[in-house]
Amino acid sequence: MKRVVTVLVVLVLIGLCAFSCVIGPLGQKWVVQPHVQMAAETFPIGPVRVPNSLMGMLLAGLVLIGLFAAGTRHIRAGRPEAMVPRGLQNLVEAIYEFLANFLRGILGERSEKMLPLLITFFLFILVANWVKLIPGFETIGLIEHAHKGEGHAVRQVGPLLFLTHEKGKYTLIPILRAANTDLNVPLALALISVFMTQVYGVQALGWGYFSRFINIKALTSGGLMGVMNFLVGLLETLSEFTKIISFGFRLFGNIFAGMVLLVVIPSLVPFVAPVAFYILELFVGAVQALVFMMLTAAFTAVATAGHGEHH
Amino acid sequence: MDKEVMKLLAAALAIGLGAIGPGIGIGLVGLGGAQATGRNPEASGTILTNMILAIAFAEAIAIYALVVALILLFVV
Repeated sequence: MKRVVTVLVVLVLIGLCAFSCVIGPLGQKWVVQPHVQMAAETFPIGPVRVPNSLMGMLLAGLVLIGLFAAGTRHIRAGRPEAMVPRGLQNLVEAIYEFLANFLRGILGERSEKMLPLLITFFLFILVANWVKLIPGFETIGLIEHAHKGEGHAVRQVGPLLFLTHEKGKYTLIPILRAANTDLNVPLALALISVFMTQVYGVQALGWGYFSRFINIKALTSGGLMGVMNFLVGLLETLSEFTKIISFGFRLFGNIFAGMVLLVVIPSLVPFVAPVAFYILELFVGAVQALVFMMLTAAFTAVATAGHGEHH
Repeated sequence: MDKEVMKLLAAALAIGLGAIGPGIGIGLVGLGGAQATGRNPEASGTILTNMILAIAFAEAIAIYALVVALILLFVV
């Protein structure tokens, strides 16, 4: 019985896929073709134009603050119930414990001061990546006049306006867009990450931390090897700047590509196939958040371990 | 050839060719990680950490290709 059901489900899925492979190309006549724009669209609030990625970022922040404010309300109020966590508090504590233990494994004893920043990186990027999977992101918005001649016609259904496939002079400005699909957000996170690495390095090693970059002592003392060490220091300086680029573009590239994928795949195969890519995007979002946190932790571990310690 | 066409072709080639090396590299890292976990399952936590670090460094090369492709598409 179970096997029959499984076979039926698989057959129905294959059928739907085949159906949508046929319907998809036909449907392209009636469906609005995907339009991908790298810069965030802006829509007016009062006198200023606000980028829609800011809205996505604020939404992610609100979700995160709401979750943790609700989860820790007993602790903050100092109530005795906080000693025996229930419901949401359990979840919040489990998330924190898991991440904190994970990071303690990488950073060792010095981790306590860095935990807030690193865990915030992880949770913010994770939530920002996951909220974009809510239907309505990048599809609900304001209808405006298109700048160039590439707009669509609109049709009114009840109180709502829809874009149609026909050529016209209107375009959609989505209200919500994933924060990390706007290069400014990942770059800002990357700048914070690299800057804080320097701060932790100085905290751990004093101003001698900067001898990692400009190693005058090696230059004056140690002959040929000293010159080599000095040049290695210059390379280290360069690598701090490449870190900013690779942090920023890694996050941006992955999440932006995910957004494009989720727009293009439904326009090719409208049924079933997008589900698989939604699951892939959940995974990619989590992995990118983890990678961002772990790389920051690893670079911090390198920066706080002194040059002299392993000699 | 048209300048627009060349731009598209160059961007596609930049990211397409630039992704080959990192792809192989990440595959090798995954292979190493899986083998290491298979031989010493208790160390899987450390292996995962180091694996993701190595993947990130390999991926950085692909990111440079992505940057070049994006510059070609949107800036040049």
